[in-house]
Amino acid sequence: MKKKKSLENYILLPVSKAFINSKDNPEVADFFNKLNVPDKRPALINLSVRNKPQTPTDEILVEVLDSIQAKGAKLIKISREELPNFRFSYPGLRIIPEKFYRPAICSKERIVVQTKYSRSSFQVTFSITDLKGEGIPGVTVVVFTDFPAGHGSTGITDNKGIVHLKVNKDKADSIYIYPDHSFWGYFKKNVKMTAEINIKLQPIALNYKDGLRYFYNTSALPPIKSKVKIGIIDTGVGPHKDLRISGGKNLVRGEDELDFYDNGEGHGTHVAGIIGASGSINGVAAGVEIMSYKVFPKGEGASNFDIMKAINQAIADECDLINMSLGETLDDEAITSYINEAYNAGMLCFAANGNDNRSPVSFPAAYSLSIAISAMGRKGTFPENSIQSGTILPPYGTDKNNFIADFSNIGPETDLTAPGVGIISTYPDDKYAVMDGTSMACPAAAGIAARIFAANPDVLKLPRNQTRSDEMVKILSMNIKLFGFGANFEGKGMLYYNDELHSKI
Amino acid sequence: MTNFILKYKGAEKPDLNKMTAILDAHKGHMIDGSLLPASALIEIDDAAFEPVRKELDGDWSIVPEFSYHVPDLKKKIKKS
Repeated sequence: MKKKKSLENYILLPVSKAFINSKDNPEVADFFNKLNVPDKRPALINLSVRNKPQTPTDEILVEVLDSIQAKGAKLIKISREELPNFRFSYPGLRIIPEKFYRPAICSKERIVVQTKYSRSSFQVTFSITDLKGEGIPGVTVVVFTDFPAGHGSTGITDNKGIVHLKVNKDKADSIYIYPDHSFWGYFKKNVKMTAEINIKLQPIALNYKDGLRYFYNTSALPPIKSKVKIGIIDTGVGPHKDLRISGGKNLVRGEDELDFYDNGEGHGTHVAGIIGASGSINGVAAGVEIMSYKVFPKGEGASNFDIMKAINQAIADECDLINMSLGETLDDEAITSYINEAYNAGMLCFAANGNDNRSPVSFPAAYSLSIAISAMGRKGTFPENSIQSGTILPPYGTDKNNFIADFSNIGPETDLTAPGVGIISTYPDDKYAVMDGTSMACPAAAGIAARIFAANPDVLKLPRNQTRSDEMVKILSMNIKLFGFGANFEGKGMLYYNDELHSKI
Repeated sequence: MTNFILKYKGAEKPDLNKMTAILDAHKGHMIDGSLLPASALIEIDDAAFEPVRKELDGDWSIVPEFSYHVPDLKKKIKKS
Protein backbone atom coordinates (compact mmCIF):
# COMPACT_ATOMS: atom_id res chain seq x y z
CA MET A 1 0.00 0.00 0.00
CA LYS A 2 1.28 3.43 -0.87
CA LYS A 3 2.06 5.69 2.11
CA LYS A 4 -0.12 8.82 2.27
CA LYS A 5 1.91 11.98 1.72
CA SER A 6 1.64 14.79 4.26
CA LEU A 7 1.15 18.08 2.41
CA GLU A 8 2.24 21.33 4.01
CA ASN A 9 2.35 25.00 3.05
CA TYR A 10 5.62 26.91 2.64
CA ILE A 11 6.52 30.46 1.65
CA LEU A 12 9.27 30.90 -0.95
CA LEU A 13 11.39 34.05 -0.81
CA PRO A 14 14.62 35.19 -2.52
CA VAL A 15 17.81 34.90 -0.40
CA SER A 16 17.60 38.54 0.61
CA LYS A 17 14.84 41.13 0.32
CA ALA A 18 11.24 40.35 -0.51
CA PHE A 19 11.40 40.59 -4.32
CA ILE A 20 13.81 38.87 -6.70
CA ASN A 21 15.95 40.95 -8.97
CA SER A 22 16.84 39.19 -12.23
CA LYS A 23 20.27 40.85 -12.15
CA ASP A 24 21.04 39.25 -8.77
CA ASN A 25 19.95 35.75 -9.75
CA PRO A 26 18.38 35.19 -13.19
CA GLU A 27 17.68 31.48 -12.48
CA VAL A 28 15.66 32.23 -9.36
CA ALA A 29 13.91 35.11 -11.16
CA ASP A 30 12.87 32.74 -13.97
CA PHE A 31 11.73 30.19 -11.41
CA PHE A 32 9.60 32.80 -9.62
CA ASN A 33 8.04 33.75 -12.94
CA LYS A 34 7.22 30.10 -13.56
CA LEU A 35 5.44 29.89 -10.21
CA ASN A 36 3.51 33.11 -10.66
CA VAL A 37 -0.25 32.73 -10.26
CA PRO A 38 -1.72 35.69 -12.12
CA ASP A 39 -5.38 34.95 -11.42
CA LYS A 40 -4.81 33.99 -7.75
CA ARG A 41 -6.14 30.48 -8.34
CA PRO A 42 -4.13 27.50 -7.11
CA ALA A 43 -2.10 25.84 -9.87
CA LEU A 44 -0.38 22.45 -9.93
CA ILE A 45 3.13 22.44 -11.38
CA ASN A 46 5.45 19.50 -12.00
CA LEU A 47 9.09 20.36 -11.27
CA SER A 48 12.08 18.31 -12.31
CA VAL A 49 14.41 16.96 -9.63
CA ARG A 50 18.18 16.89 -9.48
CA ASN A 51 19.04 13.25 -8.84
CA LYS A 52 21.69 10.82 -9.92
CA PRO A 53 20.82 8.68 -11.81
CA GLN A 54 18.01 10.70 -13.34
CA THR A 55 14.81 8.74 -13.99
CA PRO A 56 11.66 9.82 -15.85
CA THR A 57 9.66 9.65 -12.59
CA ASP A 58 11.93 12.17 -10.86
CA GLU A 59 9.42 14.99 -10.59
CA ILE A 60 8.01 16.95 -7.69
CA LEU A 61 4.40 18.04 -7.68
CA VAL A 62 4.02 21.53 -6.24
CA GLU A 63 0.78 23.39 -5.82
CA VAL A 64 1.20 27.16 -6.03
CA LEU A 65 -1.47 28.65 -3.77
CA ASP A 66 -0.67 32.33 -3.92
CA SER A 67 1.85 34.83 -5.17
CA ILE A 68 2.80 38.42 -4.35
CA GLN A 69 3.34 39.70 -7.88
CA ALA A 70 5.65 37.92 -10.32
CA LYS A 71 8.85 38.73 -8.44
CA GLY A 72 7.56 38.37 -4.89
CA ALA A 73 6.84 35.63 -2.35
CA LYS A 74 5.05 32.44 -3.36
CA LEU A 75 2.90 30.27 -1.14
CA ILE A 76 3.20 26.63 -2.15
CA LYS A 77 1.88 23.29 -0.98
CA ILE A 78 4.31 20.39 -1.14
CA SER A 79 4.65 17.00 0.52
CA ARG A 80 7.03 16.87 3.46
CA GLU A 81 8.70 13.84 1.87
CA GLU A 82 9.54 15.81 -1.27
CA LEU A 83 10.69 18.98 0.49
CA PRO A 84 14.39 17.95 0.80
CA ASN A 85 14.44 17.10 -2.91
CA PHE A 86 12.93 20.49 -3.68
CA ARG A 87 15.49 22.32 -1.50
CA PHE A 88 18.46 20.67 -3.18
CA SER A 89 16.98 20.95 -6.69
CA TYR A 90 16.07 24.64 -6.38
CA PRO A 91 18.72 26.33 -4.20
CA GLY A 92 18.88 30.08 -3.64
CA LEU A 93 15.50 30.29 -1.95
CA ARG A 94 14.38 30.88 1.60
CA ILE A 95 11.72 28.25 2.35
CA ILE A 96 9.69 29.23 5.39
CA PRO A 97 6.82 27.17 6.85
CA GLU A 98 3.53 29.04 6.80
CA LYS A 99 2.77 30.04 10.42
CA PHE A 100 -0.41 31.11 12.13
CA TYR A 101 -0.10 33.53 15.03
CA ARG A 102 -2.28 33.34 18.11
CA PRO A 103 -3.10 35.87 20.82
CA ALA A 104 -0.27 35.96 23.37
CA ILE A 105 -2.18 34.40 26.26
CA CYS A 106 -0.26 32.27 28.72
CA SER A 107 -1.59 28.73 28.81
CA LYS A 108 -2.00 27.15 32.22
CA GLU A 109 -1.03 23.80 30.74
CA ARG A 110 2.46 25.11 30.18
CA ILE A 111 3.14 25.61 33.87
CA VAL A 112 4.85 22.50 35.19
CA VAL A 113 5.10 22.00 38.92
CA GLN A 114 8.12 19.89 39.78
CA THR A 115 7.72 17.18 42.37
CA LYS A 116 9.93 17.29 45.45
CA TYR A 117 13.08 15.22 45.80
CA SER A 118 12.70 12.03 47.77
CA ARG A 119 14.87 11.87 50.87
CA SER A 120 18.30 10.27 50.32
CA SER A 121 18.88 7.20 52.46
CA PHE A 122 21.41 4.97 50.72
CA GLN A 123 25.11 5.70 50.03
CA VAL A 124 26.95 4.15 47.10
CA THR A 125 30.68 4.48 46.50
CA PHE A 126 31.58 4.30 42.83
CA SER A 127 35.11 3.36 41.84
CA ILE A 128 35.76 4.15 38.17
CA THR A 129 38.93 2.53 36.84
CA ASP A 130 40.71 1.52 33.67
CA LEU A 131 41.08 -2.17 32.78
CA LYS A 132 44.17 -2.44 35.04
CA GLY A 133 42.27 -1.07 38.04
CA GLU A 134 43.82 2.44 38.02
CA GLY A 135 41.33 5.08 39.13
CA ILE A 136 40.18 7.63 36.53
CA PRO A 137 39.69 11.16 37.90
CA GLY A 138 37.18 13.71 36.59
CA VAL A 139 34.56 11.20 35.45
CA THR A 140 30.90 12.24 35.79
CA VAL A 141 28.66 9.57 37.36
CA VAL A 142 24.87 9.96 37.05
CA VAL A 143 22.50 7.55 38.84
CA PHE A 144 18.78 7.74 38.13
CA THR A 145 16.49 6.10 40.69
CA ASP A 146 13.45 7.46 38.83
CA PHE A 147 14.46 8.22 35.27
CA PRO A 148 11.14 9.64 33.96
CA ALA A 149 11.01 12.08 36.90
CA GLY A 150 14.72 12.91 36.61
CA HIS A 151 15.39 11.89 40.23
CA GLY A 152 18.71 10.49 41.42
CA SER A 153 22.21 11.67 42.22
CA THR A 154 25.33 12.82 40.39
CA GLY A 155 29.00 13.50 41.14
CA ILE A 156 32.53 13.63 39.70
CA THR A 157 35.30 11.18 40.62
CA ASP A 158 38.27 12.39 42.69
CA ASN A 159 41.97 11.80 41.96
CA LYS A 160 41.57 8.11 42.87
CA GLY A 161 38.53 7.65 40.62
CA ILE A 162 36.15 7.55 43.62
CA VAL A 163 32.81 9.32 44.10
CA HIS A 164 30.29 8.85 46.94
CA LEU A 165 26.62 9.32 46.02
CA LYS A 166 23.52 9.39 48.21
CA VAL A 167 20.33 8.02 46.66
CA ASN A 168 16.85 7.28 47.97
CA LYS A 169 16.83 3.56 47.14
CA ASP A 170 19.20 0.77 46.20
CA LYS A 171 17.76 0.10 42.73
CA ALA A 172 18.81 2.35 39.88
CA ASP A 173 16.67 2.78 36.77
CA SER A 174 19.87 3.60 34.90
CA ILE A 175 23.51 4.52 35.47
CA TYR A 176 25.49 6.76 33.11
CA ILE A 177 29.28 7.17 33.35
CA TYR A 178 30.81 10.05 31.33
CA PRO A 179 34.62 10.27 31.03
CA ASP A 180 35.82 13.47 29.34
CA HIS A 181 38.35 11.68 27.12
CA SER A 182 40.47 8.57 26.51
CA PHE A 183 37.70 6.05 27.43
CA TRP A 184 34.28 5.00 26.22
CA GLY A 185 31.41 5.93 28.53
CA TYR A 186 29.22 3.37 30.29
CA PHE A 187 25.46 2.84 30.47
CA LYS A 188 23.40 0.21 32.27
CA LYS A 189 19.68 -0.12 33.05
CA ASN A 190 17.97 -1.68 36.08
CA VAL A 191 20.95 -2.00 38.43
CA LYS A 192 20.65 -3.44 41.95
CA MET A 193 23.22 -1.31 43.75
CA THR A 194 25.52 -2.40 46.55
CA ALA A 195 27.50 -0.12 48.89
CA GLU A 196 30.54 -0.29 46.59
CA ILE A 197 30.45 -0.51 42.80
CA ASN A 198 33.50 -0.81 40.57
CA ILE A 199 33.10 0.02 36.88
CA LYS A 200 35.95 -0.58 34.47
CA LEU A 201 35.95 1.67 31.41
CA GLN A 202 37.15 0.54 28.00
CA PRO A 203 39.99 2.65 26.58
CA ILE A 204 39.61 4.20 23.13
CA ALA A 205 41.50 2.23 20.48
CA LEU A 206 42.40 4.54 17.61
CA ASN A 207 41.91 1.80 15.03
CA TYR A 208 38.36 1.10 16.28
CA LYS A 209 35.76 1.18 13.49
CA ASP A 210 33.33 3.72 14.96
CA GLY A 211 30.14 5.08 13.36
CA LEU A 212 32.04 7.59 11.23
CA ARG A 213 34.66 5.12 9.97
CA TYR A 214 32.03 2.47 9.24
CA PHE A 215 30.45 4.74 6.63
CA TYR A 216 33.59 6.62 5.57
CA ASN A 217 36.87 4.69 5.62
CA THR A 218 38.83 7.80 6.59
CA SER A 219 42.24 6.12 6.76
CA ALA A 220 41.92 5.12 3.08
CA LEU A 221 40.70 8.50 1.80
CA PRO A 222 43.40 10.48 0.00
CA PRO A 223 44.24 13.94 1.39
CA ILE A 224 42.36 16.79 -0.29
CA LYS A 225 44.58 18.57 -2.80
CA SER A 226 42.34 21.47 -3.90
CA LYS A 227 42.11 24.49 -1.62
CA VAL A 228 38.89 24.18 0.37
CA LYS A 229 38.46 26.25 3.51
CA ILE A 230 36.09 25.41 6.39
CA GLY A 231 35.34 27.86 9.19
CA ILE A 232 34.51 26.20 12.51
CA ILE A 233 32.44 28.43 14.82
CA ASP A 234 32.86 26.79 18.21
CA THR A 235 34.89 26.61 21.45
CA GLY A 236 38.15 27.05 19.51
CA VAL A 237 40.30 24.36 17.93
CA GLY A 238 43.41 22.54 19.18
CA PRO A 239 46.27 22.63 19.52
CA HIS A 240 46.54 18.92 18.70
CA LYS A 241 49.26 16.98 16.92
CA ASP A 242 46.73 15.62 14.37
CA LEU A 243 45.31 19.04 13.47
CA ARG A 244 46.76 21.79 11.33
CA ILE A 245 44.91 25.07 11.81
CA SER A 246 45.32 27.60 9.02
CA GLY A 247 44.11 30.56 11.07
CA GLY A 248 41.11 32.06 12.76
CA LYS A 249 40.05 34.58 15.34
CA ASN A 250 38.74 34.70 18.87
CA LEU A 251 35.51 36.71 18.71
CA VAL A 252 34.73 36.53 22.44
CA ARG A 253 34.53 40.05 23.87
CA GLY A 254 37.41 40.88 26.15
CA GLU A 255 39.59 37.94 25.11
CA ASP A 256 42.78 37.91 23.03
CA GLU A 257 41.61 37.74 19.40
CA LEU A 258 44.66 35.68 18.45
CA ASP A 259 43.79 32.96 20.97
CA PHE A 260 41.53 30.90 18.73
CA TYR A 261 42.58 27.63 20.39
CA ASP A 262 40.17 25.44 22.35
CA ASN A 263 38.89 26.93 25.61
CA GLY A 264 39.48 23.53 27.24
CA GLU A 265 36.00 22.10 26.79
CA GLY A 266 37.13 20.15 23.73
CA HIS A 267 33.97 20.50 21.64
CA GLY A 268 35.55 22.53 18.81
CA THR A 269 38.66 20.34 18.72
CA HIS A 270 36.48 17.23 18.40
CA VAL A 271 34.46 18.84 15.59
CA ALA A 272 37.66 19.89 13.79
CA GLY A 273 39.11 16.35 14.03
CA ILE A 274 36.01 14.84 12.41
CA ILE A 275 36.59 17.18 9.48
CA GLY A 276 40.33 17.39 9.07
CA ALA A 277 42.41 15.27 11.49
CA SER A 278 45.46 13.69 9.89
CA GLY A 279 47.80 11.51 11.95
CA SER A 280 46.93 8.84 14.50
CA ILE A 281 43.34 9.20 13.31
CA ASN A 282 41.95 10.79 10.15
CA GLY A 283 38.94 12.98 9.58
CA VAL A 284 36.74 12.76 6.49
CA ALA A 285 38.48 15.67 4.77
CA ALA A 286 42.15 15.48 5.75
CA GLY A 287 44.01 18.24 3.92
CA VAL A 288 41.18 20.77 4.13
CA GLU A 289 42.05 24.24 5.49
CA ILE A 290 40.62 24.69 8.97
CA MET A 291 39.82 28.16 10.31
CA SER A 292 38.91 28.39 14.00
CA TYR A 293 36.40 31.07 15.03
CA LYS A 294 36.09 30.92 18.79
CA VAL A 295 32.81 32.22 20.20
CA PHE A 296 32.43 30.26 23.47
CA PRO A 297 34.16 31.60 26.57
CA LYS A 298 35.03 28.72 28.90
CA GLY A 299 31.96 27.46 30.77
CA GLU A 300 29.67 30.10 29.27
CA GLY A 301 27.35 30.55 26.35
CA ALA A 302 28.22 32.26 23.08
CA SER A 303 26.63 35.60 22.29
CA ASN A 304 24.65 35.72 19.06
CA PHE A 305 26.52 38.96 18.30
CA ASP A 306 29.86 37.13 18.55
CA ILE A 307 28.48 34.43 16.24
CA MET A 308 27.52 37.19 13.77
CA LYS A 309 31.10 38.50 13.98
CA ALA A 310 32.41 34.97 13.39
CA ILE A 311 30.32 34.52 10.23
CA ASN A 312 31.40 37.97 9.07
CA GLN A 313 35.06 37.01 9.64
CA ALA A 314 34.59 33.72 7.77
CA ILE A 315 33.24 35.73 4.82
CA ALA A 316 36.25 38.07 4.99
CA ASP A 317 38.59 35.06 5.13
CA GLU A 318 36.89 33.55 2.05
CA CYS A 319 35.81 30.29 3.63
CA ASP A 320 33.88 27.87 1.43
CA LEU A 321 31.92 26.26 4.24
CA ILE A 322 30.97 27.17 7.79
CA ASN A 323 30.35 24.54 10.46
CA MET A 324 28.02 25.55 13.30
CA SER A 325 27.63 22.69 15.76
CA LEU A 326 25.44 24.81 18.00
CA GLY A 327 21.81 25.73 18.35
CA GLU A 328 19.00 27.11 20.45
CA THR A 329 15.24 26.85 20.24
CA LEU A 330 14.68 30.58 19.64
CA ASP A 331 14.59 31.99 16.14
CA ASP A 332 17.37 34.57 15.83
CA GLU A 333 16.94 37.34 13.26
CA ALA A 334 20.44 38.64 14.02
CA ILE A 335 22.19 35.47 12.88
CA THR A 336 19.77 34.94 10.00
CA SER A 337 20.95 38.10 8.30
CA TYR A 338 24.58 36.93 8.43
CA ILE A 339 23.73 33.46 7.11
CA ASN A 340 22.16 35.35 4.19
CA GLU A 341 25.38 37.34 3.81
CA ALA A 342 27.40 34.11 3.77
CA TYR A 343 25.14 32.58 1.14
CA ASN A 344 25.44 35.74 -0.97
CA ALA A 345 29.23 35.48 -0.59
CA GLY A 346 29.33 31.96 -2.07
CA MET A 347 29.61 29.85 1.08
CA LEU A 348 27.34 27.29 2.69
CA CYS A 349 26.50 27.14 6.41
CA PHE A 350 26.12 23.65 7.88
CA ALA A 351 24.29 23.57 11.23
CA ALA A 352 23.46 20.85 13.77
CA ASN A 353 19.78 19.88 14.15
CA GLY A 354 20.14 19.91 17.97
CA ASN A 355 20.05 17.20 20.64
CA ASP A 356 16.72 17.63 22.41
CA ASN A 357 15.34 14.13 21.95
CA ARG A 358 13.38 14.40 18.73
CA SER A 359 12.27 17.99 19.37
CA PRO A 360 11.85 20.40 16.42
CA VAL A 361 15.04 21.37 14.58
CA SER A 362 17.02 24.03 16.49
CA PHE A 363 18.05 27.42 15.16
CA PRO A 364 20.13 28.23 13.05
CA ALA A 365 19.75 24.76 11.46
CA ALA A 366 16.02 25.43 11.05
CA TYR A 367 16.73 28.48 8.90
CA SER A 368 16.12 27.53 5.28
CA LEU A 369 19.50 28.76 3.95
CA SER A 370 21.36 26.57 6.47
CA ILE A 371 22.10 22.93 5.68
CA ALA A 372 20.49 21.14 8.66
CA ILE A 373 22.04 17.84 9.80
CA SER A 374 20.42 15.11 11.90
CA ALA A 375 22.45 12.38 13.66
CA MET A 376 22.26 8.67 12.89
CA GLY A 377 24.07 5.66 14.29
CA ARG A 378 24.96 2.10 13.42
CA LYS A 379 24.58 -0.90 15.73
CA GLY A 380 27.89 -2.67 16.32
CA THR A 381 30.03 0.48 16.00
CA PHE A 382 30.27 1.05 19.77
CA PRO A 383 30.96 -1.30 22.70
CA GLU A 384 28.17 -3.09 24.55
CA ASN A 385 27.13 -1.15 27.69
CA SER A 386 28.58 2.05 26.28
CA ILE A 387 26.56 5.28 26.57
CA GLN A 388 25.84 4.89 22.85
CA SER A 389 23.89 1.66 23.43
CA GLY A 390 21.20 3.85 25.02
CA THR A 391 20.74 5.97 21.90
CA ILE A 392 19.17 3.28 19.69
CA LEU A 393 15.61 4.13 18.74
CA PRO A 394 13.46 3.67 15.63
CA PRO A 395 13.15 4.57 12.84
CA TYR A 396 15.59 2.08 11.41
CA GLY A 397 16.84 2.39 7.86
CA THR A 398 16.56 0.00 4.95
CA ASP A 399 19.45 -1.77 6.69
CA LYS A 400 17.95 -2.39 10.14
CA ASN A 401 21.30 -1.84 11.87
CA ASN A 402 21.13 1.86 10.99
CA PHE A 403 19.05 4.13 13.23
CA ILE A 404 18.35 7.79 13.86
CA ALA A 405 19.85 8.69 17.27
CA ASP A 406 17.28 9.04 20.05
CA PHE A 407 18.64 12.50 20.91
CA SER A 408 18.55 13.94 17.39
CA ASN A 409 16.07 16.70 16.67
CA ILE A 410 13.95 16.11 13.62
CA GLY A 411 11.55 17.93 11.34
CA PRO A 412 10.88 19.12 7.81
CA GLU A 413 13.89 21.49 7.93
CA THR A 414 16.28 18.50 8.03
CA ASP A 415 18.45 18.48 4.90
CA LEU A 416 20.86 15.61 5.52
CA THR A 417 21.81 12.96 8.05
CA ALA A 418 25.32 11.87 9.05
CA PRO A 419 27.01 9.65 11.66
CA GLY A 420 26.77 11.23 15.12
CA VAL A 421 26.78 8.33 17.59
CA GLY A 422 30.02 7.16 19.23
CA ILE A 423 32.43 9.24 17.15
CA ILE A 424 36.15 9.13 18.00
CA SER A 425 38.04 12.36 17.37
CA THR A 426 40.69 14.73 18.66
CA TYR A 427 40.61 16.34 22.11
CA PRO A 428 42.87 19.07 23.57
CA ASP A 429 46.38 18.15 24.82
CA ASP A 430 46.86 15.52 22.10
CA LYS A 431 44.14 13.31 23.58
CA TYR A 432 41.20 11.56 21.92
CA ALA A 433 37.57 11.39 23.00
CA VAL A 434 34.29 9.75 22.04
CA MET A 435 31.38 12.15 21.63
CA ASP A 436 27.80 11.92 20.41
CA GLY A 437 25.50 14.52 18.96
CA THR A 438 24.29 16.33 15.92
CA SER A 439 27.41 18.40 16.75
CA MET A 440 29.41 15.44 15.45
CA ALA A 441 27.11 14.65 12.52
CA CYS A 442 27.35 18.26 11.28
CA PRO A 443 31.14 18.25 10.66
CA ALA A 444 30.93 14.75 9.17
CA ALA A 445 28.56 16.15 6.54
CA ALA A 446 30.49 19.42 6.12
CA GLY A 447 33.76 17.49 5.72
CA ILE A 448 32.34 15.19 3.04
CA ALA A 449 30.90 18.27 1.32
CA ALA A 450 34.42 19.75 1.29
CA ARG A 451 35.72 16.54 -0.27
CA ILE A 452 32.99 16.67 -2.93
CA PHE A 453 33.84 20.30 -3.76
CA ALA A 454 37.54 19.45 -3.95
CA ALA A 455 36.66 16.90 -6.63
CA ASN A 456 34.71 19.61 -8.50
CA PRO A 457 37.25 22.44 -8.67
CA ASP A 458 35.22 24.38 -11.26
CA VAL A 459 32.63 25.30 -8.65
CA LEU A 460 35.37 26.59 -6.33
CA LYS A 461 36.61 28.89 -9.10
CA LEU A 462 33.23 30.62 -9.51
CA PRO A 463 32.94 34.26 -8.38
CA ARG A 464 31.95 34.46 -4.73
CA ASN A 465 28.26 35.23 -4.99
CA GLN A 466 24.89 33.58 -4.59
CA THR A 467 25.23 31.64 -7.84
CA ARG A 468 28.33 29.94 -6.42
CA SER A 469 26.31 28.82 -3.37
CA ASP A 470 23.48 27.61 -5.61
CA GLU A 471 25.94 25.58 -7.68
CA MET A 472 27.51 24.10 -4.55
CA VAL A 473 24.09 22.92 -3.37
CA LYS A 474 23.38 21.45 -6.79
CA ILE A 475 26.64 19.47 -6.72
CA LEU A 476 25.84 18.11 -3.26
CA SER A 477 22.39 17.04 -4.47
CA MET A 478 24.08 14.68 -6.94
CA ASN A 479 26.01 12.93 -4.15
CA ILE A 480 23.36 11.95 -1.61
CA LYS A 481 21.92 8.55 -0.72
CA LEU A 482 18.64 7.91 1.09
CA PHE A 483 18.88 5.54 4.07
CA GLY A 484 15.16 4.84 4.37
CA PHE A 485 14.48 6.72 7.64
CA GLY A 486 11.96 9.13 6.12
CA ALA A 487 12.39 12.76 5.10
CA ASN A 488 11.64 14.19 8.54
CA PHE A 489 14.57 12.23 9.96
CA GLU A 490 17.15 12.29 7.19
CA GLY A 491 16.14 15.00 4.71
CA LYS A 492 17.56 13.96 1.35
CA GLY A 493 19.89 11.38 2.94
CA MET A 494 23.64 11.07 3.55
CA LEU A 495 26.42 12.63 1.46
CA TYR A 496 28.81 10.23 -0.23
CA TYR A 497 32.13 10.68 -1.90
CA ASN A 498 32.76 7.28 -3.46
CA ASP A 499 30.98 3.95 -3.92
CA GLU A 500 31.72 2.58 -0.44
CA LEU A 501 28.50 3.96 1.04
CA HIS A 502 26.23 2.17 -1.42
CA SER A 503 26.61 -1.24 0.23
CA LYS A 504 25.91 0.14 3.72
CA ILE A 505 22.34 1.33 3.32
CA MET B 1 20.58 47.64 31.35
CA THR B 2 20.23 45.05 28.59
CA ASN B 3 22.25 44.28 25.50
CA PHE B 4 20.63 44.55 22.08
CA ILE B 5 21.87 44.06 18.53
CA LEU B 6 21.20 46.75 15.94
CA LYS B 7 21.11 45.64 12.31
CA TYR B 8 20.83 48.24 9.56
CA LYS B 9 17.95 47.54 7.18
CA GLY B 10 18.11 50.46 4.78
CA ALA B 11 19.48 50.52 1.24
CA GLU B 12 21.35 53.85 1.60
CA LYS B 13 24.39 54.51 3.77
CA PRO B 14 23.27 54.57 7.42
CA ASP B 15 23.33 57.81 9.38
CA LEU B 16 25.57 56.72 12.23
CA ASN B 17 25.54 60.16 13.84
CA LYS B 18 21.75 59.99 14.14
CA MET B 19 21.94 56.49 15.59
CA THR B 20 24.56 57.41 18.23
CA ALA B 21 22.68 60.60 19.11
CA ILE B 22 19.55 58.53 19.82
CA LEU B 23 21.61 56.21 22.02
CA ASP B 24 23.15 59.16 23.87
CA ALA B 25 19.77 60.73 24.44
CA HIS B 26 18.62 57.58 26.22
CA LYS B 27 21.86 57.07 28.18
CA GLY B 28 22.67 54.00 26.11
CA HIS B 29 26.08 53.15 24.73
CA MET B 30 27.76 51.03 22.13
CA ILE B 31 29.57 47.93 23.45
CA ASP B 32 30.90 46.60 20.15
CA GLY B 33 30.96 48.59 16.92
CA SER B 34 33.26 46.24 15.01
CA LEU B 35 30.51 45.28 12.54
CA LEU B 36 29.49 48.87 11.74
CA PRO B 37 27.99 50.18 9.52
CA ALA B 38 25.99 46.93 9.23
CA SER B 39 25.48 45.98 12.90
CA ALA B 40 26.37 46.99 16.43
CA LEU B 41 25.99 45.72 19.96
CA ILE B 42 24.46 48.32 22.26
CA GLU B 43 23.44 48.52 25.91
CA ILE B 44 20.32 50.42 26.92
CA ASP B 45 17.95 50.55 29.84
CA ASP B 46 14.96 48.24 29.40
CA ALA B 47 12.64 51.22 29.70
CA ALA B 48 14.43 52.94 26.81
CA PHE B 49 13.90 50.03 24.40
CA GLU B 50 10.58 51.18 22.95
CA PRO B 51 11.54 54.88 22.52
CA VAL B 52 14.91 53.94 20.98
CA ARG B 53 13.20 51.52 18.59
CA LYS B 54 10.69 54.20 17.56
CA GLU B 55 13.31 56.92 17.10
CA LEU B 56 15.48 54.65 14.95
CA ASP B 57 12.45 54.93 12.67
CA GLY B 58 12.60 51.53 10.97
CA ASP B 59 16.13 52.06 9.65
CA TRP B 60 17.53 49.52 12.11
CA SER B 61 16.12 46.28 13.45
CA ILE B 62 16.75 45.84 17.15
CA VAL B 63 16.86 42.35 18.66
CA PRO B 64 18.10 41.08 22.04
CA GLU B 65 21.56 39.58 22.47
CA PHE B 66 21.32 36.03 23.81
CA SER B 67 23.55 33.04 24.42
CA TYR B 68 24.08 29.78 22.60
CA HIS B 69 25.41 26.92 24.74
CA VAL B 70 27.92 24.21 23.95
CA PRO B 71 25.75 21.20 23.14
CA ASP B 72 25.99 18.64 25.96
CA LEU B 73 24.37 15.23 25.89
CA LYS B 74 25.05 14.27 29.51
CA LYS B 75 21.87 13.22 31.31
CA LYS B 76 21.04 15.58 34.18
CA ILE B 77 19.40 15.05 37.54
CA LYS B 78 16.54 17.51 38.00
CA LYS B 79 16.98 19.94 40.87
CA SER B 80 13.97 20.25 43.18
